[in-house]
Amino acid sequence: MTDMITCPLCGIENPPGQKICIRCQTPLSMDASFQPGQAPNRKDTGELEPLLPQWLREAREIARESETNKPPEPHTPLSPSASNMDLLAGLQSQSGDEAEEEIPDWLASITGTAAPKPKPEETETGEVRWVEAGKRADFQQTETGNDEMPPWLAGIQPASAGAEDKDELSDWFRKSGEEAVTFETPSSQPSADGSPFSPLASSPDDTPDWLKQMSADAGEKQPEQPVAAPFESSDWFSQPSEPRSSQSLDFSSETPDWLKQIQTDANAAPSSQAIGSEREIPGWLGQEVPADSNIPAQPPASEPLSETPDWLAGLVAESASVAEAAPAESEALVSEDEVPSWLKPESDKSSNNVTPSWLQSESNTAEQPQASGELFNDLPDWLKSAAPPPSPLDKPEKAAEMPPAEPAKAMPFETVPAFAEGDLPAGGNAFLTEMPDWLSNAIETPLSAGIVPEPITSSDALAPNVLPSWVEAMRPSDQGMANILATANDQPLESQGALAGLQGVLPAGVGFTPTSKPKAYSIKINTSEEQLKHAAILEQILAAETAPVTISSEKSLGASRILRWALAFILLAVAFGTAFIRSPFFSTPVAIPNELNYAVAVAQAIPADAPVLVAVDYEPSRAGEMEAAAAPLLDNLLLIKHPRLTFVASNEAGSILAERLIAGPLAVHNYQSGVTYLNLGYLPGGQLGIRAFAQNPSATAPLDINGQTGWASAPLQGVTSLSEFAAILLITDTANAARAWIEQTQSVRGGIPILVVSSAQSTPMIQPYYESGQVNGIVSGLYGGALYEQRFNNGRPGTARAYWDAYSVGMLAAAVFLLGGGLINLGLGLRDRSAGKAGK
Amino acid sequence: MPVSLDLITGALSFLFTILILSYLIGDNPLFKIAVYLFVGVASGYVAVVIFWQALYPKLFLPLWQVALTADINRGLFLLAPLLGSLLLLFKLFPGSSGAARIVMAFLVGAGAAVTIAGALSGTLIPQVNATINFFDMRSAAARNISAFEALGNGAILLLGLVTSLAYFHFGARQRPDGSAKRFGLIEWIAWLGRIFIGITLGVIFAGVYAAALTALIERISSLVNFIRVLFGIP
Amino acid sequence: MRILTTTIAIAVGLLVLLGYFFPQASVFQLILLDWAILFSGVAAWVGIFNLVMVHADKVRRNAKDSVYSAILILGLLVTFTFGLILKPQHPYMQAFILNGIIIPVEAALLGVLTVTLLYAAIRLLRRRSDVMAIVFIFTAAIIFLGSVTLPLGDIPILGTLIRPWVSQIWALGGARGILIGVALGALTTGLRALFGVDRPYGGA
Repeated sequence: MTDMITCPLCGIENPPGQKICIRCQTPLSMDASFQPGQAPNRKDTGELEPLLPQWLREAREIARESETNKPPEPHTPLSPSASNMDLLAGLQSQSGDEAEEEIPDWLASITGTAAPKPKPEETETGEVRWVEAGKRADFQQTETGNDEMPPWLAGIQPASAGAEDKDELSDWFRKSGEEAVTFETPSSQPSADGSPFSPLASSPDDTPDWLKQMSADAGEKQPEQPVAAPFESSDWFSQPSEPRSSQSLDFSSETPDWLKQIQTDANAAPSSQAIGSEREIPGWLGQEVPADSNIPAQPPASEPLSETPDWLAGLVAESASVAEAAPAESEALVSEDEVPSWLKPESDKSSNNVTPSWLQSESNTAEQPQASGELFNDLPDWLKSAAPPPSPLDKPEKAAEMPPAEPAKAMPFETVPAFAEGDLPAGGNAFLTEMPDWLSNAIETPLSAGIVPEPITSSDALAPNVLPSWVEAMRPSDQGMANILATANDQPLESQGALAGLQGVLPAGVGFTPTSKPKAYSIKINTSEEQLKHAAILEQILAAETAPVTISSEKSLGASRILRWALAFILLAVAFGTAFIRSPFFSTPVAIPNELNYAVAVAQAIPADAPVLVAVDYEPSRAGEMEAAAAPLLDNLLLIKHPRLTFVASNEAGSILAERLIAGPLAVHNYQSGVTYLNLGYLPGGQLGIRAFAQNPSATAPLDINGQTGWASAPLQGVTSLSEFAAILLITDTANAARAWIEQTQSVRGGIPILVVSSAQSTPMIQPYYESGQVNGIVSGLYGGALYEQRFNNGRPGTARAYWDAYSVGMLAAAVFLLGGGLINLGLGLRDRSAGKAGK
Repeated sequence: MPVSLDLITGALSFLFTILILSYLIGDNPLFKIAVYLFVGVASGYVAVVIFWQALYPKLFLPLWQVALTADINRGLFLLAPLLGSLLLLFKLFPGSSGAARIVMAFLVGAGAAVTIAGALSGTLIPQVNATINFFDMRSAAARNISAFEALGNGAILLLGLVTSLAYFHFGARQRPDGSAKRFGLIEWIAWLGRIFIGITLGVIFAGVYAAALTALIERISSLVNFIRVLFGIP
Repeated sequence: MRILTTTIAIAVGLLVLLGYFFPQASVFQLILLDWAILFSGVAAWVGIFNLVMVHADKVRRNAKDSVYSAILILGLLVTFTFGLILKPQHPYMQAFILNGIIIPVEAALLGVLTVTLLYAAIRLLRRRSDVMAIVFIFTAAIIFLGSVTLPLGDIPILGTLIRPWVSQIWALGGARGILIGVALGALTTGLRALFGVDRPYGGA
C-alpha cells in the first residue's frame, strides 16, 4: 500500500495520516522531523532564564548581592559600552539571523556523510585580524587556564583537559574575561585570586558512580520518554552508538574529584549534595542549594521553538507537554530551551564531530537521577554514558519559585544579539575562533539599529553589566593574555599592507592616534564652466608639450648626409662656377608676366620729379634679391623721371637698407639725402606705425634719420599727406608687410598707385591684391628684376643678370632633384608603407 | 698703405660667410661664434636704430625741447607717453611686471582696432569684390581678356577660393569613438581645397627656394668678388 | 588691475577704430597711434634688455656655452655703443655692422636654407604621399622649370604658358582663400580683444 507511511526509524508501516510512529513515536511528517543536512533552527533560550534552577538563581542572587555589597571591584562593572552585555542575552546571539545559513560543523557531521566543513570565512574586520594574529599564544594560555580550573568546573567541561579540545564555554568565559580586561583593569581577574584552579588529570576511573549507575539505567526507561523520538529520526542517531558511548564515557572519566564527591553524595542525595564539597568550590557554590526544587511550568515555548532546530523542535514540543504534565525535574534535561544558554557551550568540543555541543552540554548537565533516568531511557547508550556529572545547573529545587518569563519579555531575546557590536571588546572575536560557526556568525551579527533590547524585568534575570562572581570565578585564568590584550588594545591596528591585521607592530607616537573621526572636507573645486574649459585647454597644451615626439631614427643617416653634401656641393659649385665665369650663358626670361607689365606702365606713368614714397620692409638676408629686383625699377625711374624719393621703413633694418640701396645699385644717380631723397627712418609698431604714417605722415615721422626736419625739405615739398605722393613703391619680402601697407593705406591713399617689389617667396600671397586692383604692379624677385632689367632698363644695373645663370642652373637642378628624387622617394615610401602594412 | 673700408667690409663679409657656410659640413664652434656674434650685433644695431629713429624723435627730443622752452602744455602732453614708457620698463623686473600691463593693454587695444579695420576694409571686402568682378566681362574686355578666358579663369579662381575656405573650415561632428568628422559635403569640398592649397603652397615653396637660392648666389658672388679684389683678378 | 587694463584696451581700441570712419575722431586716433609707436619702440628695447640679462646670467653662472653668450653681449655692447655715438646710418656702421656682419650672416643662413629646403622637398614623398604632397611637389617642379631659361630662352610652353597660368590662376584661388581666412582670423581675434574676451596683456 502506497498510502502507508514507513517510519524512517523503525520501519514500521504507519497508517496514513499518522503524525508519529505508532511504535517509536518518531514524527512521520517531514516537517516534524529533522532531515539530514538540514540546518537547525535557531533556538532562543534567553527567555528561559527565569526557568533556571532555583539554586542557580539563588547563586546569581547571591552573586549580585555580593557585587552590591562588596566594595566595587575593578573588573565587575563593565564599561557603559557594554551595558547591554547581558549574560544570557549573550547566548541569545545564537538567534542571529544569518546564523542559520551555514550548517554548523557539528550538524554536518551528524549526517554521517559530510566531511568536516571548512570554517566559514569570517568577516575581515580589524578585530578579527587582530585576534587571528595575536591569539595563538593566548589560546595556549587559555588551555593552561583550563588546566587550572577547579575540579568542579572541569567536571562541567569534561574534555577541557585536552589541549586540542578547546571547549566553547571556556572560550566564552575567556570572552567575559576579556571584556573585563578590556574595560577594566586586569588586576581584578578573579582567576588571579588564587582560586583553586588546577590541572585535572582525568581518567575513566574518575567516572562518578552515579553516572555509571545512570548509564546502567539508561536502557530501561527508554520507551517512556517520547522526547527521545526526535533524536531517533536523525541519521546520526541511527548509527551504532557504541563508539559514542565509549567516547562519552571518556567524558565522564574526566570528572573531577569534586564531582566524584558529588557523585558519591548523589547516590544518596542525588543533587542537593552535589555541591556539598566545598574545598575546591567557590563560595557561591559552597552554599547549600535545595535539592528538591521544582522547575516551574514551561512557559509558552512558541518563541523558543522558533529558534529550535526542527529535529529538536519535536523534542521541545514534547518536552513542553511533558513539562506540563510531568515533574519539573525533567525540564532541565528534556528541553534545551530550559537550560540556560550560557551553559550549552560546556560541551566538549572534541565531541563536536559526533555530538552537538548543545546536546553535549545538556547531557553533561543532566543530573537528576530520577528524571534523567527516565529520560535516558530514550537516549542512546553513548548518550546515556555521556550523562554529566552532577551539576549545580541541574538542581531545579527552586525553579518553581521562579516566575515564568512572560513571552513578551522574552521576545527581545530573539532579536537582540548576544553581543552587540559596540559591546564587543576589541579582542572579543578571539572567542569566536573556537565557537561553532553558527554561533560565531550569530555573534558577529550586528545589532539592528531599530531594535532595542528590552531589559529583563524578572528579578532573577541577570542584571546587565554585572557579571556574576561565579561566572567570574569560572573564567579561565587569562592574566597573561589579559595583559597582552590590554596592551594590544592600546596599540594601533594595521589595516593595510603586509602587516594588515597586526596590532602594535609599528610603533605610533602618543597623541598621533586620531581621537575622533576626521572632519570631512570637500575636495571638489568650485569652478565655473569657463574655468574648466580653460583648464581643459591648458591640459591639452601641456599634454601636447610634454608628449614625447617620436623621432623616427634615420635608417640611412649616412645616405642622407651624403645627399645633403651632394646637394650643397652642386649648388655651391654652380654658384661659384657661374660667378667666376661671369660670361652669360643662359638667356634672360622672355615671357613677361602681367603684373610686371603693369608695374612698368605705372612706373613710366609717374610724373617727373614727383614725390614717390618708397616703403622698405625687407630683411638684410634678402638684400641681394630685393636689390636685384628693385634696382632696375628704381634705376629706370630715377633715370627717366627723377622722382623725389622718400624712404620709410617698417622694419628695423629697412632704413639702413634703403641707404645701402641708394649707395649701392643706385649710386650712379648720385641722390643726396635731404636734397633728392629723404629717409624718414623706421616706423615702429608694424600696422600701428603704418596706419599712423598713412593718417598723418608728417606727424608720425617728423624727422629723417639724420634728425633733420624732413617735411620742409626738397624731397617732400608740397607733400603733407600720403595721397599727395605720386606713387607708393613697396619693397618687401614678406606678404604680411605688403598686406599691412595695402590694408592700412587703403582708405587714405586715394588713387595713387602702389607698386610692389617683392621677394619671390611673398609674391604668391601678394598676387591676389594685384588681381583685386589694390596693387598696380609687381616686380617679383630675381625673375622680375631680371626681366625688368633686360627688357625695360637696358640691362642696368646688371645685378640680376649677374645672378641669373647661377639662378637658372640652381632652379633647374632643383627641378631635377625634386622630380627625380621625389619619384624615387615616392616609390620608397610606397614600398615602406606596403611593407609596414604587410608587417601588421 | 691704408686699408680701404671696402676691403675690411669684404673681409668681414667673407669671414662670416665662410663661417656660416661651414654649417653645411656640420655644426661647429665657428658657426656658433658667428651666429652668437651676429645676434648680439644685430640686437645692438636694432637698439640703436630704435633709439635714434623712434625714441629720440618721439620722446627724448620733445622732452629736451620742453625742458628748453618750458612749455608746460607740451610737457603735459608728453607725460602720458613718458609714463607709459616707464611703466613698460617694469617688465624687466618680474616682481613688478604687472605695472606694464596697462601699456600692453593700450597696445593690444590699438592693435586690435587697426587689425579689424585693416582686415575688413583692406582684405575682406576687396578680395570678395575681386572674386565677383572676375566674371565681369566688361572689366575683362578692358584688360584684353576674352570672355571664355575670363569665365574659365574665374571659375577656377572661384573654385579654388571656395574649396580653400572649406579646407580651413574645422567644424565637425564628434563620432561616438571620440574622433571628429566633418560634414560629408564639406569634406568633399575640402578635399578639392587640398589640391588648390597644395598648388598654392607649391608656388610659395618655389618662391622661398628661389629667394634662398638668390641669397646663396649673392653670398657666393660676394665671396668671389672679394677673392678677385684680394688677389687682383680682373 | 584687470578691469583697468580691460577698460584701457577697449577704450583705446574704440577710439582708434572710430578714426577709420569718422574724420573727427582721427585726431584721437593719431595721438593714440603715435603713443603706440613710442611704446612699441620701448617694448623692443625691453626685449633687447631682457636678452642681455639672460645671457649675462648665463655668463655669471658660467653655464654651458657661456662663452658664446659673452661674445653675444660683447658684440651687442660694442654695436650699441658705437651706434649711439655714430648713429646707425654712419658709413662705418654700415660697412662694418650691416655689410660686414649682418647681411653676410643672414644671407648665408638663408643660403644654407637652400640645401635644407631642397633636401626636405626630395624626402617629402617618402614621408607622405597623399594628394596634397604630390600636387605640392609637382607644382613646385613646374614653377622651377618655368622660371629657368635655357641658353636660347624660356622653356617652351612651360615657362611661357603653364607657369604663369599656374601661379596666377590656380595658385591665386588658394592664395585668396588663405588671405581671406587670415583676414577673418585677424578680424575675429581683434574683435575678441576689443570686447575684452581675450586679454593677452594679462589679467586672466
